[in-house]
Amino acid sequence: MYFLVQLINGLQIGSIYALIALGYTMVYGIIKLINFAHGDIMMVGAYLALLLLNNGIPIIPAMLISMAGCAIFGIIIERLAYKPLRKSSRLSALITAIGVSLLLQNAAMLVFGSAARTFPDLTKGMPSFQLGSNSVNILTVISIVLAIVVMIALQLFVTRSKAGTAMRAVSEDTDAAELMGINVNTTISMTFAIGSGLAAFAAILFCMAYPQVTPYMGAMPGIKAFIAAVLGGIGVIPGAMIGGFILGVIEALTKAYIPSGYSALSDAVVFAILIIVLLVKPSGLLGRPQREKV
Amino acid sequence: MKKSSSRVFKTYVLNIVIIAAIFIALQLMITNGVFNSYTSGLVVQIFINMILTLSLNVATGFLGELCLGHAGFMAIGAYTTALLTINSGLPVMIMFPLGLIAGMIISGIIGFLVGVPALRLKGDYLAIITLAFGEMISILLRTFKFTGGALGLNGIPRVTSFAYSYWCFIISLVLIITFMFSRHGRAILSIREDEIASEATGVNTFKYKMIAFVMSAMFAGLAGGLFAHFQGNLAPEKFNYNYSIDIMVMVVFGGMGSVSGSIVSAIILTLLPELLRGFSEFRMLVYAIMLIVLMIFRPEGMFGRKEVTYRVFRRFLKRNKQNKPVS
Amino acid sequence: MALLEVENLGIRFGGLQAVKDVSFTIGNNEIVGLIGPNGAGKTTVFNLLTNVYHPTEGDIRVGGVSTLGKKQHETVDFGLARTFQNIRLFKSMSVMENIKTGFHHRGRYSIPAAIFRLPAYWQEEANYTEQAMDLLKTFGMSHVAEVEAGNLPYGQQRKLEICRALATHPKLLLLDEPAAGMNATETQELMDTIRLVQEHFKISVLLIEHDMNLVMGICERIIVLNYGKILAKGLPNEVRNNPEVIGAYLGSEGDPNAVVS
Repeated sequence: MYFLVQLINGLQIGSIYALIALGYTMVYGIIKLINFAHGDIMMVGAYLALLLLNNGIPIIPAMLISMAGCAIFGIIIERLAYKPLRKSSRLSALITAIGVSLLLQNAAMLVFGSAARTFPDLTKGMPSFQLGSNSVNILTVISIVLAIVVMIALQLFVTRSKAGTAMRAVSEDTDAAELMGINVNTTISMTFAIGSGLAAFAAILFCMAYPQVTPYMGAMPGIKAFIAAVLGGIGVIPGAMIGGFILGVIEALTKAYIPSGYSALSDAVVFAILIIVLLVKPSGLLGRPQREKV
Repeated sequence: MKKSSSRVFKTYVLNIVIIAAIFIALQLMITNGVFNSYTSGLVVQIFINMILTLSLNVATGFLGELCLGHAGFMAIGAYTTALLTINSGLPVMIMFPLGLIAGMIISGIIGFLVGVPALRLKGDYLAIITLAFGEMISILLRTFKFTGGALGLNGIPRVTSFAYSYWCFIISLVLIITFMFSRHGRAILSIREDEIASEATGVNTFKYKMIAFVMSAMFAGLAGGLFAHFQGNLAPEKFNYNYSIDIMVMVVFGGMGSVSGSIVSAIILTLLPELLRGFSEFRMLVYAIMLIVLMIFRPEGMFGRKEVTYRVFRRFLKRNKQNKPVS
Repeated sequence: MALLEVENLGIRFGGLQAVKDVSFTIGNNEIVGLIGPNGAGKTTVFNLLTNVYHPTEGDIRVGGVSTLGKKQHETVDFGLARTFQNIRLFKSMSVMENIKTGFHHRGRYSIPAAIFRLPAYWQEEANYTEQAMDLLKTFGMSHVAEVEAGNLPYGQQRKLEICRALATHPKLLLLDEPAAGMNATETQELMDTIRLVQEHFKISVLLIEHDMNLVMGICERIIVLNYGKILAKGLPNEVRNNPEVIGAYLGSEGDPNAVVS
């Protein structure tokens, strides 16, 4: 039973990682940029939701507004910071992303202060059920299911809709897509909007599990989600989902079974898995191997 | 032949004079109290950061591989040197230089062990795997008993003087420059330019990638050893990926593959947060904005791949002379 | 003994047999053309010769010694050097440094000799500069020695790639579509360059080319590849009039001159 509870915990964290990883993977797929600021967009989403909730707005509208806000925010960041660098080296773009990350963290610190703020406990008043000696809130299960539903919707959007096809075309070959009449700028903006919106959604799920909002809260989940994206095959949407869940479950189980003095090692396990996967299959679990043609 | 060798000799003399002059000038300012203890501490920090930036520039600028775990190699150098000076029982003044060398060697060995798997990957994947290794090192340092666990190491003798940091920097600088301007350095540059062509031209690319990577790790280890004995304590969480990114920012800011760029950027980016101290809470914000603006308007960094050499100076002087009669 | 002997060479990528049963020899100081329709496996043969790919069947011998199982960078030790279809120069290095990189594999001085600037370093580097300059002079490029390779005009970039390959002191030079993207004048100049390589350096050249004027103009022998197999071998005139070759190019029998134009 303890195992089952930890598994549910893992799936919950995993769904959060997966949602953030989707943003990483989509942006990487389309402009080959590791968007280091992505975790911080999640932080912005958390603050937005917190402000709305504190002003008496119910959770569902608060969540939707926060997602929309982050989507717009993502578009603005892309237009101001990343677009001018589309033609320059990948590394300059990466450093810019790091700059944006620092900017968001420090701006949040100025506006909201560095002290952690408490996120309202959403599980209060919700039913929970017993698994052995542990109780699991129904909201945990709902959030996992909701995350999966969103991911399936995204996958359908990308593979079935016209806009999704445009996205895939741009990620295959930007110039060719442009010649075929696809508006590349709009498509890239849309990618950022979707990724950032998902990050805001992840932020709310994250705050359900760890009800604390700080300016640096995005950093660690950001890195983990990024690892999840690489694990699944960066640029591949189902890969990000699988990677996220695998990472979440592994993390929850190692945390649960590792002696308490060595809790830091659970992160080491995560990194070790990343290293092994990269060595055995450098393109990730679902990624296609790429080889430079001679 | 004769003429060029006499010119080489002249440049050597000039180099030595300049190096000595800078040392004497700075040393005098420190001993005479022109620099207070805070400022002289800053000077030491600048030289440590220069070594650090140069070392990463070998792997990232010259070899062209994005390494995001550099702080890990620095940490290994720092812990090795510090553990040796604390536990060896030898007088610090003898143990410290030996410890620095040991730190470099251990960092180099770990660099080699990381390089064997990591250098099989390319581009972003290499960046990620180095990031993972860097984090692993930081986590392991936090876990082991002999490294002081999460508390880190305290009571490290604070023996990194200005002279130590300066001469270690000069040695690193000279070694890196002489290495890069040789057939071995050219081989490394050619890998950055086009790995496939490089291999086809007869360069053992794996070997040279490894050499550059290990060199990079060794000098990072040296910087770490100096850092440990400058701070007097080591906290394992300092050496996480954020710190690796700070170092990377210094390299890119100066210009990847430019030694001059690394030096100037280490000075600016070490001083900048201090100069912005008056704005206290705004300083990191300003730092972030400057970084973004620089990347947008000058993505190749301040220097690009250019170097400040005597030739540039001569040309500059010549141009000024020619311009004078006109103006 | 022939310079290069290729025997029943074959490679399979997954289920695809890209090259099968390819055998040919190249003698000393001759220019041989390797032609065939797109996708015939010409570049794959080059990649097999230079150990980029390792053959699943057959053998490659240079001067009687098999190159099987060797690393890519060891090919130049056997005396094989190549250029690429899409020019691959060390773009932000100078023309001089590009060529000096070609000397690397025969370089002697060690890393300590470099960092301590021992006499071995000075001697060898002076040697490199002299040799590189000679090479550039031979090709009329000494005036651009200090120019960044990426800033050269297209024709000179091709030439520099050939120079860099020659710097490794090859016995056989492999040129992968050297005339691609060139106009008639540039192609003419390239033909002179290739002849110069043959006469001045006394080495052999194997070239892949689609420009039939160039192939017919300078190649002494031609090998035709189709679907990864050798379709024909022989003198230019024999190949030009071979109905199977014409068929491969046109999909059916047709005017033999159509191949040439």
